[in-house]
Amino acid sequence: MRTKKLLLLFLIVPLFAFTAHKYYLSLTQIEYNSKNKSVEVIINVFIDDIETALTKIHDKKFELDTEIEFADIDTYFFEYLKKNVKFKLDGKAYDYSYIGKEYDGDVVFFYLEIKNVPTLKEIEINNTILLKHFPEQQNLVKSKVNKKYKSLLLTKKDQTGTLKY
Amino acid sequence: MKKIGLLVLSLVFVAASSFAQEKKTQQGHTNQNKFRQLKDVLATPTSQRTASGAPGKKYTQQKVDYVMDIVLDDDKETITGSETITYHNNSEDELPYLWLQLDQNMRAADSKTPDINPNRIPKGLSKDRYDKTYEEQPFDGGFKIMSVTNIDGSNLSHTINQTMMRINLAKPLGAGESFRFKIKWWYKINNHRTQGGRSGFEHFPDGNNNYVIAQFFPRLCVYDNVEGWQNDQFWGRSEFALEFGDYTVNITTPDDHMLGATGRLMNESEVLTKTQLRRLAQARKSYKDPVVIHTQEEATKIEKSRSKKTKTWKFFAENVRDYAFATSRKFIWDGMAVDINGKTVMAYSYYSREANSLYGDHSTRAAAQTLKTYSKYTFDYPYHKAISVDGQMGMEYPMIAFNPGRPNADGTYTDRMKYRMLGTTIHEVGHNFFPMIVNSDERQWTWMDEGLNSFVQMLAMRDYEKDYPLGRGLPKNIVPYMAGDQSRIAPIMSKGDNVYSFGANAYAKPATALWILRETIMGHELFDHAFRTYSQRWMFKHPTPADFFRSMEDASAMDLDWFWRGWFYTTDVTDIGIKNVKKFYAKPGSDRVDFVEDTTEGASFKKGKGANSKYFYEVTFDKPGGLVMPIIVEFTYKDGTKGRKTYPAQIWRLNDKEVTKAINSDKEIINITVDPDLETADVDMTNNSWPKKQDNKFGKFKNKVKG
Repeated sequence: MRTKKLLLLFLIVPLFAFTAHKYYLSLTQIEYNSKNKSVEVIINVFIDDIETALTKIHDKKFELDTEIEFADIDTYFFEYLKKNVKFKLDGKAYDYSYIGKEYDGDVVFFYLEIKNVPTLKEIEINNTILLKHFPEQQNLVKSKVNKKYKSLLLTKKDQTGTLKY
Repeated sequence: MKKIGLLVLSLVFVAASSFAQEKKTQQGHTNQNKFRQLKDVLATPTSQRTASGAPGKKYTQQKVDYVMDIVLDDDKETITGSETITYHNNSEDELPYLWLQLDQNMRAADSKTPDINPNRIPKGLSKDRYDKTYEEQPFDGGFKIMSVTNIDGSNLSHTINQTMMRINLAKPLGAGESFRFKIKWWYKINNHRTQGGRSGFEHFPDGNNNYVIAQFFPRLCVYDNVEGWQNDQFWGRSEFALEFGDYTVNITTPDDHMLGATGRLMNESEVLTKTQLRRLAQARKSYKDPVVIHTQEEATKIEKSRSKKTKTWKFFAENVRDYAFATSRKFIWDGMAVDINGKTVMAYSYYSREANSLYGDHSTRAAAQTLKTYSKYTFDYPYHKAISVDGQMGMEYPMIAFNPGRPNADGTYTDRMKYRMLGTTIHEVGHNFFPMIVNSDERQWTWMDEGLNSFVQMLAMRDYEKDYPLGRGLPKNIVPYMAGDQSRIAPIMSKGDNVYSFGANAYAKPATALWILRETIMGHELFDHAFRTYSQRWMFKHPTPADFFRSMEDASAMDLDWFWRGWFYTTDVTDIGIKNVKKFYAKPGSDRVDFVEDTTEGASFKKGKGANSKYFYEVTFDKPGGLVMPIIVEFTYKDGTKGRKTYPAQIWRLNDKEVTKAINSDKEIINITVDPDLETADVDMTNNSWPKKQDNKFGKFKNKVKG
């Protein structure tokens, strides 16, 4: 009983340490561009958190948005996204291309594109961004397809969801 | 005759009943207008807290004085203390008991804090963690109360409920009376790096500990006319409600320690060396740069040994709400003088060499800037010093704050490391103003100090560095939180312990509220005056949210109830857009002028418009979001120039969903945009333009990247 209590204490107490509190939320915005027949995705993530994740994964210090950032940082980002964000459009898995990224204050925006999507009725998204390193992380997904707005909240418990239009 | 009569009657009956089936009785409603005053929600003003938001003639608050002897045992990692508490009952009430807070009990082996949080078995743990969790003895934290006695030494009846202790008075304490008693205790200090906490020690490979000590003594709860006794349990998240008083504190440490604490050091010549005293005198005259009083070389030498002797630091702090100190063999000490409207206040930093040169370059300077900026917007900092400590956390106490951030092992640091350390240092030192002096109840309302402080922090950061990158507090940055899943969002007016995204709820969203009030709703002049009025009214007192809301309105002639209600009491979002635009031109006749609509697609005028006619527009704005905000409109004219018009929030008072404005212009308008500078935390900018924007954020970025 005592040791169980201590395990709980361990997982919980560190979270109360700081006064400058953070919240763990990423936002994935999906829009279907019917003119270009493409799916446009913009993901925003806190720089601090993805920096921590990449540092732990690759066992080397990432200094994002600084003068000493790795020159090939976009490769690392794309690799991370490919592992953690997956799309199925109308039941079929699709790859996406990495258009680029933008730093804005605390946050980094990723721009991804899926081409050659003639029609779109349903999106299945698997989003595990930062879940491995931040169990509290929540990943909000908002979408606009065929003039319909749908959204999902994905978490450690629910990592995949489907949006129907 | 009878048969026909019956038939007619039955027809009438049928007709009547079918009529009754179609008729529906209207249901009434209560006043749901978003501009209704907050009287239904705020406490009724009294002679203790007035309707204008100021303390009333009958406002009282208690005072509690402490005389303490504290011993820090570096080897055993314990604190042993004895205190004499004098409780002054300044209220008109008779008190049968007193309540004290025993924060350390949150960490006791039988603490209930771990029980109330959900958790799961992890995938795996480091061996170290596993051993600590399952194999080693559980941490024996919590206060070990050795005695609770009257002044004459006789036992004083007391009852402990987890983190709260009730003193059962032999006879009730009357209005205006004082009661004195003593407590002796000790406790094991926690390693805050491994166990968490707002105080404790950090252990170094060289065998030394940096101690940042707070919540180390049983201290009184607040008694007032709002909560009675604020004795809500300390579960670990919501912070503290504390009374003002005078502290006389003697702290005994190993004599090779360097210590900083709340209050004035009364025996400088006993505890500091001649060299330190000389440099300290220099620091007290140095307004431009910090002076190092105890150097890195000197501290590094001391690290290698362990003195068996002790020394006692003697402090006196007047009118403070709490007490804390930091001490270590490793601490470097620097300081500089700060001119606050003619009075000299000292800014000091204590840090180990692992924090140099980040702390050496910025800690004291950041503390100094914080004092200057916060004093500008509230009141002259009334204490004689403010300390920033390399405590590796972010936490505030009167006159002393524990801050995070370390550079790389070689002493270098990137801009982001610098800003992370600076932001928190300014925030923690800023807490001297909120809640150490404007002493709100943090147990109940986290936002009253965290939100207000996070906001003034933004102003101080901008004063520190011209292009300081602001993040938290800017309206556009709160959008993801506010637009998120409603089941995970709580109104700001919720108790901290019970909400999900605590940081966004109690820090970012209220800070953003103040930013919007200052930049967009009230303007700098009206806001600054009202904010200063509130701060000065409640300096050294206990304000409630109603006092803040009322003061801001009372001092500015701006009705803000719609703003407080929407932003603080609900989880509504801002979403204002342009529903449609009709274009007209004037067709003058002999004795009247007709307005003719031009139905051409887009912004241009095609048929019939005379060259001399003005341009007329009927713009319908709609508000899919629940929050009321002013409509900030930017017009772009055909000749490339731009114009602005802001419609006050009251435009929504008659219709919460939609409003139409007639606009006339000498120049042709080619674009109308709502909230072009992202001032209102609008969650959807796709409906903000007319004609509708073709290129979205994605398209713009793609074009930029393609070159």
